[in-house]
Amino acid sequence: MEDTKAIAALPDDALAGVLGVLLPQSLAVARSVCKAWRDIIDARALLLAHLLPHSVRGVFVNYTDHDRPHLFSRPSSSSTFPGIDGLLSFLPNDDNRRDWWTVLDHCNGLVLCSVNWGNQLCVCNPATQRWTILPQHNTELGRRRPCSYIAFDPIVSPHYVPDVPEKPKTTAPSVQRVRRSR
Amino acid sequence: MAAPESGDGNNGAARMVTLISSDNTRFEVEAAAASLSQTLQLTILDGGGGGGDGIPLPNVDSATLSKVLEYCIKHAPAAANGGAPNATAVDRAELERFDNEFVNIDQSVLYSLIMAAHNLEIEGLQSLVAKKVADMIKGKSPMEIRRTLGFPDPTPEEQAEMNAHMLEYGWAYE
Repeated sequence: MEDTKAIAALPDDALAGVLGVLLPQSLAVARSVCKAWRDIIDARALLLAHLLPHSVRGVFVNYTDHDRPHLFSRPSSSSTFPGIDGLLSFLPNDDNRRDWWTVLDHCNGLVLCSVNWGNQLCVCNPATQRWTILPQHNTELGRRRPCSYIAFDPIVSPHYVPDVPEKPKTTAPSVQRVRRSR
Repeated sequence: MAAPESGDGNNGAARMVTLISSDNTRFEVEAAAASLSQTLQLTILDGGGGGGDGIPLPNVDSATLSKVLEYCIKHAPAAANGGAPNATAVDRAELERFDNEFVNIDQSVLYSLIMAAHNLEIEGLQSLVAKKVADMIKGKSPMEIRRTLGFPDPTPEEQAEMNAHMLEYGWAYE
């Protein structure tokens, strides 16, 4: 059959088998090669499997009168899934970032924390131990920001969106606004 | 029936089956080799393909089928040992050398093999050819991939989409 001589002529299933062996980085690049490839990768969620946590690895519990949350998770000793650092000890503690911290929100594996006595916001991934401190844009904010959220969908974009209302006490958070408009 | 040969397999004489390519060429191979194909395995277990009957493969031409069978014949002994737990390092190295040599082929042949391995469901061959194409893709930019794999030049819309994707998935291009 002449038309099997081009890669574009391969049936989707066969092509998916080829694309499926690519590592995430190459797969993400391959996604932009042409629309057919993108459709195959998206329809079979080939990239999603790499980017999303595969299962719930643990649960953070906040306390009202304790200086930090606790992570409840099954102990893990395997090298493929090393234990998750629930103490966030990968954060440098030279400016007391891990004094009185609490979890505000999470989304697809990213955790939004209020750290350093509620003076700073930190986005981190306890599994990969990567973290960043969000820039402080309003020092008059109350210490606790109970109305902060994080949105992160790695299929749509590799970027996350923290939603920190300017004045939590007087402005309704966006989630409530959405609810009211229904 | 195939004449029994002096057996070097586990059960003495090796049973033979006949496969017929889309251009009507007949190939006689050991049943054990043809059974690497999940698609053919049941037919062969049911006693098909023996004698003068032959199993027609309307999707596979003779050039591709002969290449596929070369792979199957080479890999059949190891597969019969159930993944060859007792294979020596020498055997494994020899298979690896064969595999590397085997996929050192023109792209058109490679794509025909992907199709055939897919249709015949030959797991080992599927992953071998998939890995070969993956090696051609990895580390390249979308444009380089298109050129390597013989895509036509992108339309302006496709080019714009590729640029947008590159901005959004910057981490993948580092």
